[in-house]
Amino acid sequence: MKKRFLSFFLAVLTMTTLGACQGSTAPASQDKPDASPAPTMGTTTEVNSSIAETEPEPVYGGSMVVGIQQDIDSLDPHKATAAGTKEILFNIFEGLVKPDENGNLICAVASDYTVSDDGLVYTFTLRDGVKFHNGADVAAEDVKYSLERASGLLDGTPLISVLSAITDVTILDEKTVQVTLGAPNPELIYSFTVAIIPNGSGEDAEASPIGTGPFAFEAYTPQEGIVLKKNESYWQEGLPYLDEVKFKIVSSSDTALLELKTGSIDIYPYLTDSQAAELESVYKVQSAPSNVVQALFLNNAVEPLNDKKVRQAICYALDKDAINDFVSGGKGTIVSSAMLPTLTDFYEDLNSTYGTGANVEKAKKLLSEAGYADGFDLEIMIPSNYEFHMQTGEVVAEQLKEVGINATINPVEWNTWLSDCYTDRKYQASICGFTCDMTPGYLLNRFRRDSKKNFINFDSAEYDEVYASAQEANNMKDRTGYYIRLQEILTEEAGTAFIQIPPVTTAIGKDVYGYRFYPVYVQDMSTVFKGTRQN
Amino acid sequence: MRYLLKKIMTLSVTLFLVSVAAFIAFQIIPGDVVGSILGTEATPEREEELRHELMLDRPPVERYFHWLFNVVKGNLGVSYRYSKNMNEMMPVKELIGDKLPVTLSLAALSILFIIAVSIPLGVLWARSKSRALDAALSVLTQVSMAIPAFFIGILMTYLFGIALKLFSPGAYVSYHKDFKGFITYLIFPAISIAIPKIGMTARFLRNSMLTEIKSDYVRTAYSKGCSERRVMYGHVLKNALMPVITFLGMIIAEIVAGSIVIEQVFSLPGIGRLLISSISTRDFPVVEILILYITFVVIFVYFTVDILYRVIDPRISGK
Repeated sequence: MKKRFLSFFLAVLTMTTLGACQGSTAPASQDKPDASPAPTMGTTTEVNSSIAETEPEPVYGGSMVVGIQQDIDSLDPHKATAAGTKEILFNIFEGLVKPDENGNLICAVASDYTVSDDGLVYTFTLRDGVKFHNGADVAAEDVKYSLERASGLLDGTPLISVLSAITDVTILDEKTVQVTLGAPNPELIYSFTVAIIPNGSGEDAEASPIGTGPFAFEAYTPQEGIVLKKNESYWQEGLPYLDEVKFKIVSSSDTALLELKTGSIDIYPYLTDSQAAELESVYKVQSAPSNVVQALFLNNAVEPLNDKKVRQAICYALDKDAINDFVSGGKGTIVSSAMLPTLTDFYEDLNSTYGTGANVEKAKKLLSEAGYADGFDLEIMIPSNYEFHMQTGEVVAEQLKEVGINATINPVEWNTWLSDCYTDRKYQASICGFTCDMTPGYLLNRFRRDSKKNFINFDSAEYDEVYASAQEANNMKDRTGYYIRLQEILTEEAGTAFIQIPPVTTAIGKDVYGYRFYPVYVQDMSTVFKGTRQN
Repeated sequence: MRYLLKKIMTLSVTLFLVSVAAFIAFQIIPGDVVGSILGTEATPEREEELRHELMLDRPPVERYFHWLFNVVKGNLGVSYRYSKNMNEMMPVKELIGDKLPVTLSLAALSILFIIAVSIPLGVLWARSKSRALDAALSVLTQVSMAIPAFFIGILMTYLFGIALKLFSPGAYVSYHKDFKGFITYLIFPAISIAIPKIGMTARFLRNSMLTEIKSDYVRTAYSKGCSERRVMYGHVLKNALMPVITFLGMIIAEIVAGSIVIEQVFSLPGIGRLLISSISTRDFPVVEILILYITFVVIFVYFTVDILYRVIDPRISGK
C-alpha cells in the first residue's frame, strides 16, 4: 500500500515537472502558424509506469557502468553522426530545446520561444542560470556561435545539413536570440536540439567537450570508453542523481553477455531476444519500440525488381508476423511504410495492403503475371555486423523460397555495404534499418527521385510532387495530409518491403532505478539512480 | 659489423615492401574512411570537405609518399577515426603507445608461463622412465596443442569467471589506474595463450633431448664419471635447447605481434583489437603503423635469435 502511494506520488511529481516545462512553451505554440501542439511520439508510458511501480525514493551518489557497442565517432556534438555516439552526448550537450521521454520537445537552454506568423523568424529567450560545465553562464553569443557553426554560416560548410535553412542569427539582447530562415519549415524546430557550445570552442584545438547537460565530460579512452561526471550546477533542480557514469565499450555481443552475467555492467541496451531470455532472472529486462525502421530494401532499378508486380509479390510473400516472432520475440511493431507508428499524428496503418502474414497464392499469381512463374534468383546483401538483420535475412530467404524466389544472403562488412549498396547502389536487395529522428518527414525525404539517399532508386513522379507540396505547406496540419499520402504511394508502388520497428531490449540491474525509454535513441542518465537491491 | 648492416638493410626493405602492400590493399578493398565517418547521413559537401581534410582527393602515389616521408621523419600522423578531444584527432603515436603496454604485458606474462612450465616439463618428460607418465604427458600435450587459444579463453571465462568467480570477465582495469589489478586481470588471458604453446614447447624439448641423449658425447661423459645430473643439465639440456630457442623465437614473435583473438575474447584493449577495428573503419594511418610494428617485431625477434645462437654456440660465427 505504501509503495502504491509512493508511485502515485512520483507519477504526480513527474507530471507536474513536465507540465511546468511544457507550460513555458505553451504560449509559444499559440504564435506558431499551426496552433496544434507539437506532435506526440507515442507511448512508452506502459513501460515507464511499470518501472514506477517498484521505484524507491531516489538516492544521490554512486556510479554506474553502461555497456555500449560502438566506439565514439566524434566528441564534437555537431560532427558526431553515429546513433551510438549521440545517445551518449545527449548527457553532455543540450540544445535550445530537447526531446523528453514522451517525444515532446521541452525547453532546455531556451526558456521560451516564439515563431513569427510567416514561419520565418524564431525568437528564443534564454533560460536564466544555465551554466556551461566550465562554470560560465550561457550567453547569447554562445547560442549565436553554436547555431552559426552548425548551419554553416561561420565557414560555408553546414555541419548539420538541415540547419543550412538558417540564413541569419541575430542577438536582440543578452537573453534573446532571433533566428531567420530562408523558407518556412515547421519541422525545423526539432533541429534546434542542436548542441549549444561555448563561443569559439569549436575552433579551439585543445577544447574538451563542454556543454550544459546533466553530466560533464571527464575522460575518453579509445576502445575502452567514456567517463562522465555529475554537473553540480545543472539547471534542472535536483538532477542528476549519479556522481559518475561510465560508458564502457564491449568488444562483441558475446562478451557483453559474459560481462552482464558477472555484473560488471549495470545497463546494457542492445540485447538480442535469446540473450534477454538468458538474463531475465538476474536483470530487469525491459523493451520499448525503437526508432528504427527495418525493411527488405529492393533496388527498383534492376531486373526483375523494376517490375512493380514482382515487388508486390515479394511484399505478399513475407510473413512479417513470423519474422517478428522469430527475431524480435513478438515485441516488434509491424509496419508497411516509412513512418514510425510512435509519431501518432502522422502515421497511417497500411498493414492491410499486403497483410502481416504470407499470401503465397497472391504472390505466385503476381509473379506469373510478371512473367516469372518459375521464380528468379535474388541476392540479399546484409551488413554482417548487424546480427539482427542477418537473422531476419535467414527467415526472409526461407519465406521467399516458398513462392519460388531463390534468395541467397550475401553478408558484407559495413564499409563495403556503405559503398557498394548505399552509395553505388550495386545490389538487388538488402536488409537494413534506418534510424529516424523526431522530424516526421525525415524518412520520407529519402525516396524522392533526386535524393542522394534514395538508394532503392524509387521512381515516382507523383511522390515527388506530393513531397514538394508538403514542403510548401507552412503548418503541420497540412503537412500531415501530404505525409499520409506519401506513405500510401510508397506502399502501393511496393517501393520496398517494409518489415518492422524492432524493439530495444535493455538489461537493467536489479538495483538500478529511474531508467527511461525515449522514442529517440538516447541513454538519459540524469534520472537514473542506484537503490538497494530488491529481489 | 657488415652482418649488422646487412640485417638492417633487409629490415628496411621488408618494412617498405610491407607498407606498400598494405597501402595497395587499402586502395583495393571497397569502402573508404569518409563513408565510415559520415555514415548514411553524409552530405556531398561534408564528404568533399572531409576528403580534402584527409588528403584523400590527392593521387594515391602522392599520398603514399607524403605518408612515408612523414613516418621517416618520425611523424606517424593522426588517426582518422579516434578523437583526442573535441577538435583534435588522436595522434597515432599516442593511440598505439597507450595500447602497446597492454599487449606487451600480456605477451611477457604468457612467455613467462611458457618458459617456466614447458622447460621443466620437457626435462622431466625426457628423463622419466615411467610409461604411465610418458603416456599421460603425451596425451595431455597433444590435447593442449589441438585446442586453439581462443577456445581455451572461452572455457576459462566460463569456468573461472562465471562458475568459480575467480575473476570478472570484462572488468579490465587500465594500467594507469591500478597496475596490480591490471596484471591480475591478464593472468587468465596469458594462461590461455600459454597452454597450447606449452604443449608444443615441452614436446619439442623432450624430443630434442632424447636425440641428444643418444649422442656419443653423452656416453663419453658418463664414462668420464659425470653424475647423471651433470650430464643432463650441463651437456644434454644445453645442446637440446638450441633448436628450442628457434622454436621459442617463433612463438614469441607470434605473441608479441598481436594476440588478436585473445584480446577480443577477454575484451582487452590491446593492439590486436585496435587493428581489427581500425581495418573495419578504414583508419589507414593506424593500420599501417600497426602492420609495420608487427613486421618489425617478427624480423627483430628472428634477428635476436640469430645473435643468441652466436652467443650460445661459438661454432656458428666461425662458419
